[in-house]
Amino acid sequence: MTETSTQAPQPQADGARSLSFAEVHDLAARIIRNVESVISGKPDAVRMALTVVLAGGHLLLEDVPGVGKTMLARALGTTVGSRVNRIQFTPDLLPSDVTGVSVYDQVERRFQFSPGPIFANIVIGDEINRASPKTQSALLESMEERQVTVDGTTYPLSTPFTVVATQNPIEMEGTYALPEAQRDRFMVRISMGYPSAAAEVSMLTRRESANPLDTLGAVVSNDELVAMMDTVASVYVSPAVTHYAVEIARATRVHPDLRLGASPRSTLQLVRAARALAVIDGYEFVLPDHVDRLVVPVFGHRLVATSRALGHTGDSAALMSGLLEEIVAATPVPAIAPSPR
Amino acid sequence: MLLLVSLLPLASVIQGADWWVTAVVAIASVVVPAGVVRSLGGAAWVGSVVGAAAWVVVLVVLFVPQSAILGIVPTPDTIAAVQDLAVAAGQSIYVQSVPVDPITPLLFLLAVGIGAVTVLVDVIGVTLRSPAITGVFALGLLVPPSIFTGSLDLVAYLAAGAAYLFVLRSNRRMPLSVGARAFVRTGALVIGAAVVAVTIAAGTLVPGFSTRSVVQPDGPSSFGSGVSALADLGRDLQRPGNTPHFSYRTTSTSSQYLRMLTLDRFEGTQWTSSGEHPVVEQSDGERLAVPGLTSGVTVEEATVDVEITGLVGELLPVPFPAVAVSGLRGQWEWDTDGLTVSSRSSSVEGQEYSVTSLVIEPTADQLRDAPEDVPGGVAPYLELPDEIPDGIRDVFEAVTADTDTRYDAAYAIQQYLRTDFAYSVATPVNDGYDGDGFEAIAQFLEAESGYCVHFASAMAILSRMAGIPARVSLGYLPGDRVGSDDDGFLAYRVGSDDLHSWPELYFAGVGWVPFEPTPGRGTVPSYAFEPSTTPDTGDVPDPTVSRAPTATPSPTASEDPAAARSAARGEETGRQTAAVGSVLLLLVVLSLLTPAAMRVLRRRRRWSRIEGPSGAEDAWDEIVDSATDLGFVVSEGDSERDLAGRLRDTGRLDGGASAALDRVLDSRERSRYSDGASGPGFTLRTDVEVVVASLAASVPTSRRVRGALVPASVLSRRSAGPVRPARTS
Repeated sequence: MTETSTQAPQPQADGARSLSFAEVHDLAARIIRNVESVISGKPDAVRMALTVVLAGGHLLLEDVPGVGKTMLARALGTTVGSRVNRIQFTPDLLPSDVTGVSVYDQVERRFQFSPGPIFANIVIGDEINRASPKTQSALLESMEERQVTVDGTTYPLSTPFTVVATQNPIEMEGTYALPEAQRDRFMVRISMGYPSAAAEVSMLTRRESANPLDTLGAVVSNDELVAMMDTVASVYVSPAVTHYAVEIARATRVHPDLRLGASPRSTLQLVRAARALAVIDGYEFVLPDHVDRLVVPVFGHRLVATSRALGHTGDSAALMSGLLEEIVAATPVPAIAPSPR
Repeated sequence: MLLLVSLLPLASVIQGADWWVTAVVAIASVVVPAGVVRSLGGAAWVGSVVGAAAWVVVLVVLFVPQSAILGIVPTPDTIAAVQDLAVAAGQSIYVQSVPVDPITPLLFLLAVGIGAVTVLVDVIGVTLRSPAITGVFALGLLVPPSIFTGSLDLVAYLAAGAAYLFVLRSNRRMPLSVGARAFVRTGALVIGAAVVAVTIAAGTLVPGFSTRSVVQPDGPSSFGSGVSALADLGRDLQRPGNTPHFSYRTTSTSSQYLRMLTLDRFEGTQWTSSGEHPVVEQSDGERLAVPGLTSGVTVEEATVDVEITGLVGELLPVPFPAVAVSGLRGQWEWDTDGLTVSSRSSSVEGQEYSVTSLVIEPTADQLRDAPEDVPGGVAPYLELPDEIPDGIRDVFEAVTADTDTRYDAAYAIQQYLRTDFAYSVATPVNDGYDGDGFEAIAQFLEAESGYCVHFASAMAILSRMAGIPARVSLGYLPGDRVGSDDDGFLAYRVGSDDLHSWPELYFAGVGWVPFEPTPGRGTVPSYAFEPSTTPDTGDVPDPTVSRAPTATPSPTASEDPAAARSAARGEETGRQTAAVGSVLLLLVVLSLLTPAAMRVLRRRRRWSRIEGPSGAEDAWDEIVDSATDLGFVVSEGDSERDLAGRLRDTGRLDGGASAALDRVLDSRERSRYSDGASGPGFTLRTDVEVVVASLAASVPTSRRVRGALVPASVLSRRSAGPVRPARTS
């Protein structure tokens, strides 16, 4: 059920060195190129996944089986040269299968902690909604706390720590829907969508010979990734943009078609993600456009529509993106409003 | 706009169009300055304050300029003047029925009320951001007229409903659910249906709801209420009953007509007052010269003390020719040519005043010997339309065939009318020629029956044809003598039945002298009858005046030609209209030019700062404004990048312009969103000009012209705009 693949190459460990914005931008471009050599035709998904990793958040990939969710997660983990663990969630998976257990050591005559698969830099949680709620919450709690407590002892998780969870649409059989509070722990939810015909053809050709993941190498080391995250955290967010993000969040709270609006935590995550996206785009400051592009991925899975509004469409995700795009379009960007003097 | 529409039903309560102009001016005086201040970047509340201040200034300028410094700055006198106006307004509300005549005090009250509501709506709707509440005020304006006239102005209600929905829709801060948006879209229909339903229900359920009017028309005559013309006078004469209007005592033993107005212009359809004569402010003790009078004529001076008892309006009854008036309250003006006294802001109601007048007693020989040359100033009194009906021309030629002098002609005309014609108030109405134009007079000359209006008009027309300057005066017969007091004064009482009109003719050396062509009414002046001819009843010099038989109440009396009446009103209140109109015109011209001027100023200000620290901001704002002016879609929901992308696509920018746009966009983004300093701005102006020129080249000339003259960037707030396509995964 669990498999561990420790990344072999650990190049020069100069984690103390700080990276400039330009260097981070270059590295990010290389990472994206590398991942896209495996996942073709999904540039937005790749970019969004890297955004989450650089912002130190967690990613929820939601789509039907077989569109490359796991492939994306694994390619990304391999590329950033981090320790990647994968957990296949099943209904009978126990919480201790995720966090680890204390085992009695006959020689030492005491309990020895045996870390679970969650002790890794990037944890792929496959089909997270197939696990029992108890197991789900064990994972989700550690995502928030970034530590695991077993038998009264607390063990910190590694840094960086990103969970890339995949889930099938909740309408499908044999699934346990994630409650709102737990969905809130994911920074971003994206769906992959089906590849274009060309991308699918090229994938078929390449997969004919061997699994492309086998030939995929690391582009950056774990230390470099940490340095990149440090740089991302220092991206400048102007008061105008902060205000803009808050205005969008507030608009979701008073919207008549929304039962649950964006929480302050989600606004925080929105701005964090915008920092990462700005650097990936080559900016050392955040534009309103970066916020715009992240509103649906960051807010989409957190908001709850009223049943009346849902009655109109029936498709929750589509309705939500429609609503959010309307809100984004209606919220004045500081750009067009007259400049303050 | 909502308010304007809400005012529509008031039209049924107030006559004429003046009030509408006043209302528009009152609203504009608040809204325009407030809007200008806000568009210049002032806070919302500053706009409200400025709007309120502008409203006060406009009120002062329009209604009580004489009491303010430079006509603008209010003084303690202004408050007193305003009090006078308010009192006059209160009185006229008390005495007038629906529909009322828009006299100045009422207009003042209207401007005050509507202006106050506008300020309130502005504060609530814009400063406090609660536009939904403004609907209450609109409703408040809509409903009262319906109560008074008993009918619902459906069109006005619908228009107001639509305007209200527009206000709601333009308020993007109000979150609307899917359902609410649908409501706004179909709202006009819904409200329309509701109004129809309510109207029908009210008509059937509420007793008396469909009656013509709650307030029955009675009270003082409308002639006395301020707006007079021959048609009004005729209508007043046809009104049954004699209402006392004023009393006076005089030192003169000859009977004196009291005049209120002279009509000097005849354009074929009616006699009107041109209002082109010099006007001087009335002040106690100031003496005026009588136009045309020379020393050779016998003149007796008389003092007349008048006490108004039942008359309202702004026209003062004075004997002719009055040379001085004292004891008046309020602001009054002399027409130096017609020697009439009127006011734009005060009412005659309750006035007690003393008039010094002359009694001119020329001899017939003096008039007969008057030179035929007409002074230039009097020449307009000879003007007649070119097309004179044959009926009138035939009469003129028959009557004046054997006359040698102008006086002889005038005398012949008067005698022809006095002897061959019958006095009747009812006949012209019944036979459909109740008027004072060519057509009516031609019929009158054929039917040989009418009342003073027809006689006066006919004689004035015929006199002008004979080359004698002529005009028509309106006022009162001397009235009933009620006794004499110890000081030797003769006391008279004058009422609505004494209303009269008569011609005045000009003879060089003597000036204006009245004639009396109406048989059975008034007295014929001594110079206007020759003892050699057969005396008629009017010849007896009798201080008491023969009263005309009381006019038969006519059911068709209300069928006066409405057009003639309202046109006469328009002429009468011409001076007010001119004042209000010129202010309005000024406002319109200013408001038309202001946006373009503001746009130019904005651009200049930006160019002057383009190399400063905020140059990038200015450069970008200039592109945004130019794009808005040229009609490109610019939405508040756009980021810089969104807009730049759209301009690139729809504006068909070439490579150079596109690169320039990129440079401006980049420096703007850096200036706005980064923490570092923006780059050097010295190419920014060139870049902006390249981009704007390229944008302008991509639109038709008409849009460029419209952009320059009516810049949308100044005029409208940008809309929330269309939903942009998704760009996320």
